[in-house]
Amino acid sequence: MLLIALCGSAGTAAAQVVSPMIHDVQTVSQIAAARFEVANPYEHAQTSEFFIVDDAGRAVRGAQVSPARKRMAGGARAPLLVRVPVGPNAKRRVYVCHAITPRHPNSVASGTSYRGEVCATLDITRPEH
Amino acid sequence: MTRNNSRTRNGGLVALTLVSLTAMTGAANAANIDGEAVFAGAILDTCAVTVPVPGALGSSADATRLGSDEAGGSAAQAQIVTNNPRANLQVIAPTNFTLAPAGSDTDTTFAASHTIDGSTLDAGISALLPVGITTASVDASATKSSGAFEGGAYTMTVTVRCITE
Repeated sequence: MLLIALCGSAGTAAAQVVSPMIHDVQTVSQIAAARFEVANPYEHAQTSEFFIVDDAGRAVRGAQVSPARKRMAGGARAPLLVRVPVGPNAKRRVYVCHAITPRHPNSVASGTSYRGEVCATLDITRPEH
Repeated sequence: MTRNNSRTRNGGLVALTLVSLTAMTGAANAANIDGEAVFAGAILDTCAVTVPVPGALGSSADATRLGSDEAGGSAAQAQIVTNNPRANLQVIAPTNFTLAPAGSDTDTTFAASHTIDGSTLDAGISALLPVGITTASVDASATKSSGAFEGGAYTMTVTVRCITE
């Protein structure tokens, strides 16, 4: 019988954090900006990836997230700035996601058992001028 | 002498009474003076995903399927903590092996699911989470439509996502 381990690294508890989980923004310009706070609750430093997707899980065209990638120390928190284009007299919803594919510091495995993601909702309203 | 002593005693008794009354009055006044300590705070809503128990893959007898629900396999245990009543749980199936013998991704279909309180949902389907801690079992599999999996080390990544909808 072939037994394969799904987990390629030690089972370290992991968590991704994004706050707030629901963010409402109103803008009079064609770009809406929002600020989130992200954290790495791991004991060890991990590399975080940040991205913005729509309802279908596709990348939002023209949206920017800063930083897009960041290595944070264990327990560290950092701000995340998001810019999303929005048309006049429009409402749109996007998802701001924080993902970590954890690496145990002593693991030599090239893969891990899971990728944790936390996605917050960003609702944008641009009233008609 | 007796009269003097009596006066002294009476005067002392009066003085003692006055002192007692004053002390009692003072105590009553202190009890009526109440201060208020006000505590305020804004608690940001958040969600955290943990996987304290990793899963393991087993193989079917004909080696055409690798899965956590095959003999020798085991599901991962995910723990989600949230204080947002609109948080949902999704699992996203892998799209390829991150570690595997060459050709393992060819003609291979990946799948994943999660189970909460006996209710199982396939990958991509959301489950509304209660506020607090939720434990979910996560299963994953890879199936060959043609050929079989070779012997070797395999690793694939399942995404466990907490998302507000």
